[in-house]
Amino acid sequence: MKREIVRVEGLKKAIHGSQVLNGLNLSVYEGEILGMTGLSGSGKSVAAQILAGSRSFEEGEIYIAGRKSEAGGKAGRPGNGIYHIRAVPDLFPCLTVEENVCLTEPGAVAGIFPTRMQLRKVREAAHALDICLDSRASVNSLSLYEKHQVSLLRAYYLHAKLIIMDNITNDYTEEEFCRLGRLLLRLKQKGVSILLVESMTERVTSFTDRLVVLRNGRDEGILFREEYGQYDINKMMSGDYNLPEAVGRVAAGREQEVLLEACRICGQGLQGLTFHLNKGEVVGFTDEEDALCTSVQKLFLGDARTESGTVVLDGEPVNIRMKRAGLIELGFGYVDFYKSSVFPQLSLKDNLTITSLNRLTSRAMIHARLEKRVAEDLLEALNFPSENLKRPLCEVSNREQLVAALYKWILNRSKVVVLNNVLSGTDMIMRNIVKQFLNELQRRKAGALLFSPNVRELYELCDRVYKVRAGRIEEEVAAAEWGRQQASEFELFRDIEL
Amino acid sequence: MERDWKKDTEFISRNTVLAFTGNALFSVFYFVMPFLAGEIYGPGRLLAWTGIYLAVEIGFCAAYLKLLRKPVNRMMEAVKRASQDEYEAQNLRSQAEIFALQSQINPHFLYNTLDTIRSHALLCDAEDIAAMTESLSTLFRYSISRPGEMATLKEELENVRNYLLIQQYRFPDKVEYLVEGMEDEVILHYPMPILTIQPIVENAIHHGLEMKIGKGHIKLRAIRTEGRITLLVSDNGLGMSEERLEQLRRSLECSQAGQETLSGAGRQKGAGIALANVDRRLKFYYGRQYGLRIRSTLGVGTMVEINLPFEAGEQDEKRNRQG
Repeated sequence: MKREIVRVEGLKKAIHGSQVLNGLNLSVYEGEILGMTGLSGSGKSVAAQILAGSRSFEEGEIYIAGRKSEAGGKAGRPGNGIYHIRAVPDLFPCLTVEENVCLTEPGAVAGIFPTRMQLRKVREAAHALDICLDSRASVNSLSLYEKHQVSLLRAYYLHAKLIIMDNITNDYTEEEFCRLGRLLLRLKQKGVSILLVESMTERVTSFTDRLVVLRNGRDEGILFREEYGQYDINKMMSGDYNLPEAVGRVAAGREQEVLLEACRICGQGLQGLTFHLNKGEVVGFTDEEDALCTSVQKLFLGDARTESGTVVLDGEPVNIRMKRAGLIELGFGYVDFYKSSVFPQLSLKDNLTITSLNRLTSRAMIHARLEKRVAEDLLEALNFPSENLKRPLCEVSNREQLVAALYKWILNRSKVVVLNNVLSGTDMIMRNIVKQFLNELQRRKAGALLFSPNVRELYELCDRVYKVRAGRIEEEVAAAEWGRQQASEFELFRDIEL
Repeated sequence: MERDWKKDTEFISRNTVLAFTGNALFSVFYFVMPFLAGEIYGPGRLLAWTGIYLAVEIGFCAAYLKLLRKPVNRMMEAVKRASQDEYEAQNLRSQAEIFALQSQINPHFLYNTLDTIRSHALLCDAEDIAAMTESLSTLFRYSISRPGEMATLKEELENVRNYLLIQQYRFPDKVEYLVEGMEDEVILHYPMPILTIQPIVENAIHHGLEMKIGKGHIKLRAIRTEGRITLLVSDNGLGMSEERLEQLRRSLECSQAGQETLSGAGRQKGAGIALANVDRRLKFYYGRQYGLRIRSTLGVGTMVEINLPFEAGEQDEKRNRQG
């Protein structure tokens, strides 16, 4: 017999007039890892927030350990054993690990200074979960994965029955994800239930016992571990909507002209960095010690303090000490996490105009017709409804926000686009949009520099990958060949056994 | 639902007793104490005293009625629903009686004929036909001779197996039948309305697997928790479009409200009627929070979730009595 920790029946919730949850049913059993996936906007995060009690719900019933929560109110209450961990952990950065763990303990009398008894318990909990962290270290000095470890430790320390993990692995490396998997399995062994909300299907299927697939705010598929199949999951997510054929990256030709060349760059973590980017090519960077290659990234973000070396863009020397605005004028474009790469309160049209202000203005006046035509042409080419042209981006779908974040650089005729973890928080359709964008760059003989903690993404999107070590290029590999080598290694993550 | 109703009754009776007692005490003290103290003298004073008393009483009554409004409304709803259920029950009972009358003559004739065919088949060494006829006979005996009865999950599974045996002859090597999580004796001896699972399996074959190219499977899985038993019948057949699925879900909701279910196309194909009937029966037996839930994706398959109530203590008692 299984014990039901949470049961959700017919949950409904509307936000900004659109029905985000439309009759969701869900059960989480004791000691199971339940995955929850779906396309962007399918209601995963809203469901997680309602379960955690940070959002109210309009219709339906939620039973937490048999106790019913009424519609119109909030489901989660402090002390009911449900803990919500978000991508940005809610920890006090200036406090130590042990202080953060003990701080929220109900009935703690010592305030932020933990008692000896509490410290002993924290150490025991960390030992039980095999978490090796310096408990006196400041949270500020920890990596994102380590911060999530602290959040998990706190939940376990506070006797969590269910831990909801809401899209926390977007910025994880494969190695970190694998370690998280081991930690979750340990928690499962201790009888804690986990709800893993995740948009990357290959990750959500790695170590979950059961998977709930959401579509249009409903649970349209439940799969048990032995039934997992990529095609079935993708189809359940998309329903009647025909999945676009997975866009394959068109490999750049070998005899291309050089678009960007960096030569013997030294300073701020770089020690003679030399590489080149051909026209129509996507090049990735990976560093074992620093997954996002921040030192190389900084070089093109206008933040680097270099001592020597040259950068040449399309035959013209570039002053690499320039600020970002100057680099944009020279032909660089930047896309980070798509939501933070647009102005959410402005419309798509205004977002495009701001980026391409130089091209759309003459004598300090904006060409209104040109501006409108450009935006309409883009929407038509990408098959998006033109009525969304003037709506603030925060009110349109995530896909349209991603399109705005990417294609504004095409309209700006940028020569090199720097993409920093651009697939973070995207679903399969959005990934296709990114691939289409890269192909469009290739067609226009532009190039892209790609940085991502997820090596799988690097080999999927890049033509070549530079392996960086100690501030210099250690090796250059063709992505397809490298991907094949790595594939077998990734497969090992699928069956993590304790 | 019943628990809510009981709570409301308790709430109303407790508050009524409290209100009346409090009111009586208040009235006594209000009039007796000042009278004894000599505060009430003369008609004018008495009138004023009574006026204040009436105003307080009216206020009190209004507050009391406001307090009881919600539980009384809920109770009225429950009574309305109960009378509707009773009406439905009467309908179902008369239908069952008609079925019983119809089948008084026919079944025996049918069973005898099937037995005769089986004997002839055995005499002619046609073992396939004999096995098929036996399955058909068992299937009829199970479904016709016990209308309105309860059956254990074990019996239901056996009935499904008989049904699938016949289907195996119709579509050889087309359907694989898998059962998981049925090791639990409590689940196997759980009583449920007869013919709960077989119509769902029949639907899965007819609408999901029959037209599918290649082999398919039907999987039956059971999950028991402290308060309910969930049976999951899933197939990897054709599945259904979102529009069709929505139509089917609406038909289940309508069947709950006792309305006509499927429109045009759905009715012609006969799809969904069986599911709506099963859902209606389960809701009738166990209450509105139980019954069927359907999930489906075109090209992937369909999963029907059967939700049944389970009370551990009650089941153990029944098993002990049987033992």
